[in-house]
Amino acid sequence: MSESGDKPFSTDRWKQVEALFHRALDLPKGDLDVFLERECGDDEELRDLLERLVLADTLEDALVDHSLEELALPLLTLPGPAHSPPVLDPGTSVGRYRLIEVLGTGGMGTVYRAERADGAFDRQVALKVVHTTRLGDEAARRLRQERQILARLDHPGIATLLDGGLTEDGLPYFAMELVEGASLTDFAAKRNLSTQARIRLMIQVAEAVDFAHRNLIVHRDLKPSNILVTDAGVVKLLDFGIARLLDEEADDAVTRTGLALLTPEYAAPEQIRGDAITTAADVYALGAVLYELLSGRRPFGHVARGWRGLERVLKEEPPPLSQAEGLDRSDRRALEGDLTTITAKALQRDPRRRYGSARALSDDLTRFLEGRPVTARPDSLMYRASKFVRRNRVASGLAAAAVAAVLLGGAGTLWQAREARLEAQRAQAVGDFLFSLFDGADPDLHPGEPVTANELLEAGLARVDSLRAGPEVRAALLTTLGVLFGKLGQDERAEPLLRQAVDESMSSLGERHPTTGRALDALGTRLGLTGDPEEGVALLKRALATRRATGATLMEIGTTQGNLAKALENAGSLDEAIVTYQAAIETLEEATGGDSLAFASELMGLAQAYEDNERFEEADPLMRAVLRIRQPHGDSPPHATALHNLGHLMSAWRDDSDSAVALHSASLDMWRRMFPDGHPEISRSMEQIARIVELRGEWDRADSLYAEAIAHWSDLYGDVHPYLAAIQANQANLRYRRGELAQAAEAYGEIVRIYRAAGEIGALAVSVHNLGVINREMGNYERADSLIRDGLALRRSYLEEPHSTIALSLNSLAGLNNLQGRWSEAEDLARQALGQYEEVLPEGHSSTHGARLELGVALAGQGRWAEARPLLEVVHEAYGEMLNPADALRGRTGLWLGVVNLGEGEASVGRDLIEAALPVLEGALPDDAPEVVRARRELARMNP
Amino acid sequence: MSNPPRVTQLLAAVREGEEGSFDRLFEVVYEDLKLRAHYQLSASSPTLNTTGLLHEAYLKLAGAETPDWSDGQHFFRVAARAMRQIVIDRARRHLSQKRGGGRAAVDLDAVQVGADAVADRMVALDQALSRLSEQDPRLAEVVELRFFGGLSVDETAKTLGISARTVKRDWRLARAFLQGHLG
Repeated sequence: MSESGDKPFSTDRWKQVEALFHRALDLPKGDLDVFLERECGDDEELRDLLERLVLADTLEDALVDHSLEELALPLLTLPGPAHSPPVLDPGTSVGRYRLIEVLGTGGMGTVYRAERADGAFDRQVALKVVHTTRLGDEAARRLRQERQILARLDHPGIATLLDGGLTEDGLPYFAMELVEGASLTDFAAKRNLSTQARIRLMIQVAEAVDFAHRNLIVHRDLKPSNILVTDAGVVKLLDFGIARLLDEEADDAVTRTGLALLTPEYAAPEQIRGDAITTAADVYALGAVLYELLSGRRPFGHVARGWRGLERVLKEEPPPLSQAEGLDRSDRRALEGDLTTITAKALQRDPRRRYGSARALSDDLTRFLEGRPVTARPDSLMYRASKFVRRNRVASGLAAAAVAAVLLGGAGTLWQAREARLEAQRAQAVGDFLFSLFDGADPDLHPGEPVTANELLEAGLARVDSLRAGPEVRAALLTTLGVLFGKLGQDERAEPLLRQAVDESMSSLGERHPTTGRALDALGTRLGLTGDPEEGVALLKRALATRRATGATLMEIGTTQGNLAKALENAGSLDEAIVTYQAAIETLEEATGGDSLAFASELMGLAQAYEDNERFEEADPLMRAVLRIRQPHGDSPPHATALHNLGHLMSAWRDDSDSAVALHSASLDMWRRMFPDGHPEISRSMEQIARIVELRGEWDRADSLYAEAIAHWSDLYGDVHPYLAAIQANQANLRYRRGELAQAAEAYGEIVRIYRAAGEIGALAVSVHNLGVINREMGNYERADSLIRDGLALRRSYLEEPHSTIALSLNSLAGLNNLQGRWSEAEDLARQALGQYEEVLPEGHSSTHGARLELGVALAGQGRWAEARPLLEVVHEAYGEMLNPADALRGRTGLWLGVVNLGEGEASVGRDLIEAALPVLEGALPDDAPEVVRARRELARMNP
Repeated sequence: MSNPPRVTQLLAAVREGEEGSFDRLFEVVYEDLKLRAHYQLSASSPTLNTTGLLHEAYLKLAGAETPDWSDGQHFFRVAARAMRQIVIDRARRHLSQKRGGGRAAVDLDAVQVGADAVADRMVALDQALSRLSEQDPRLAEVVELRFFGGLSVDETAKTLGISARTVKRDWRLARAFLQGHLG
């Protein structure tokens, strides 16, 4: 079926194939040749096809023989979730803590009472070990960063997060302030609290939640067991932000929606659907908790779990509070009216119809206690009227912003009037200064050469100190210079200048000053993009507060929000970034209308944050909106980037490779029009298209696109840039997969040269290793040996052993020695590889099987059957489940397990194994490969 | 997601061969199945029960108590196709993320693990299945219904309106064809 299979046969011919195939299956073994001879005559094509089909029919273990359930599971879920959480013994150390006793277990994990193992503090803590998610290094690093942000959430109603990290088994843990208390509902029940007293508790809860929201942190898993009340009646919320942390760190889209962790009884519909989670989800949960606290029932009873229950949450309103099940008449009467209206408003299915904030809910509860009218109305006229206006969240946020502007307008306007004059003076001063820089560009100093922007800025910088200017102008100048250096990519010049600007502005003008706001924004933005995004986030939050307090324009506020969102994204706080982008978009839409380019930029920011969070459905319309806005403005880099981004979305999410290629091509054309002399993005677009068509199996087209991308890039930057090597590696790997070994080797020769010149040791080690592997496939064992050894030496020069990539090099060497029959060298190398793998990888990891295979082969080669057998049997079974039946590794394992069986006198088992292995080996390896030869020889010996 | 009546109407439209109705039904079923798969997989011990998913989706979307095979026919064909799409989307996304962004080459002889290997194989199967469909659409549908839809031989036979024996014969040829293309 090889090449001929690419074109369908005519219907008649296929009918013929079909009929002959079924007849061939009924033949006694051995009669096939005669049958084919008779039926096909000299129709080679037909004969060939039938032979292949009949052979394929006998192969066991086709992909479609397995159930989709087992096959697709690893694809759709996280690898290796811990099923039953093991409880750790008292005395066990976790990070800096020693466990004392179990306080409780829940869906997410187990909570222990613990103390500092080093006795640094004698305060006991609650230590929660989470069993549902296992994290890798990168995720753990981000977790640490996030944790620091959470740790700053300092409020009496929120249990402080003290510490966190990973246990030795890679499970996340969090140390929190230990709260001695009962859950909200237990507390109320035990003390038989009045409705009034319950509402007072709820107000405390809502206020704490509101505090967190104002710090842009959403709880996402509010429920009575996360809300403790101390004996003194003080509410403490547990686990703030942790659901999000874990959720976000999970590697997989399915768990990332939050479904893995949420408690369905209190989860908002949008949370169940996996939509964007905002503060409104917490408002819903507060409503659910309030409902339970007042009526003793959960809004959807106890059946919110399972598909049926979830469906109810998505589609139905809960019964009104006063009609909750099991209430007697006097209860009902007590809950009728305002309390029913308030809970109903918090529990609206549509987030836009809920209270706008936790504060608004607590305010309404307070009004109720004080006997004042509440704001919630059963399906109020205002809602119905506004429903048509507020078509989406952006719009409704805008309305809120407008209201706020009216309320706060007085103060802001006064500020602005006074500031406007100062601002004008300052702008004049900065402008004068910048113009003066051009005067300093003395052509005599640079005869015949244009002055670079960089030189200009350096000259300006030299002049700032001699300038007699007030602190305000000085700080503004430093900020401007810092921003400009940053735009030129001179981070190392930009950052100190911006820090100086912030310091000087702070000390002479104070935090609440527009110039300080601008400096904070500039430094925060820079750090948010490069360097330390976490510090950037902190600075931008300050900048935002200052800008708001000093009457900055909506445009400025929106821009700072956008910068904050980007920094949050880079700091790994995706959810918070999304909320912040939304805020920026609302502000900018208000400031500039819904079709400005500034608005479009933040819209794209939000779209990309959605994409990173795998919320593709939400990213898609935003990107299209960006394109609509940019369309009339013609070609521009952001426009081309927007096309590129939507193209990526189309290939990554929709698998609409035609649209993706079309979009990338449009982007490519635009870059070409804008930069006829060449631009790096031209190469990047071509590489993108190449990767998409490669995945589609259009290998020739992919190959030539890679070649074009490579040519363009080397025209621009010469032939030493690491990105060039990366495209070349893509091309080389494609050629390797196509069996074009010589071309692949040639390309890798170039790649090695580039990485060596660039001093990128990690990439160099991989490339040298790969060049070795390609040489091994070509049968150049000596060259392969020395290259793989070079790769190993490189890895040892910068990695610490044990390390999985060092083990990989060792194992590849072992394999090479096995191929050459140098069994004892191979044995030694394979043992080293296996040892290192076992130290760093989980049991049963596919790489450990790779080392077991080489060790097994080395032992079998020496005739040590009994030692080889258990190793090879384990690998045989594991590969049977893990690998494509046609994978050479499966063939090799089958061959050697067969050899072991023959050695131990199990002739028929051995023969079956080798007979099955031979076609696999023949398909995957060159005809004269040692293992193909070996398999044929073994079979020939048995069937003389 | 849509209301049951719409699905019933769409099914009727598909039955009458109305233009575009298959695509519209497909969209509805795709979203519904994706959501259902989500829930199954988000349980504490994730499992994927394709057959269960399809039947549940049918009962719910078509609003039928017991499958009426005249509608079920169309529904399961659409649903199996949707299931295929869901799995392949996921696989491609996995691969496109893996291979994103001009990164340095991966070690060529590292064994492909878990999701990687499955994703590669699924995408290859999808391509092979498309080729099979060009050659013989019915064979491809038999694979879709049995492998992606989790239907039994009898259910597949009813859905396609052919005999169980034909399903078995089709399956065997389809399997050999796919083996050959995947090998």
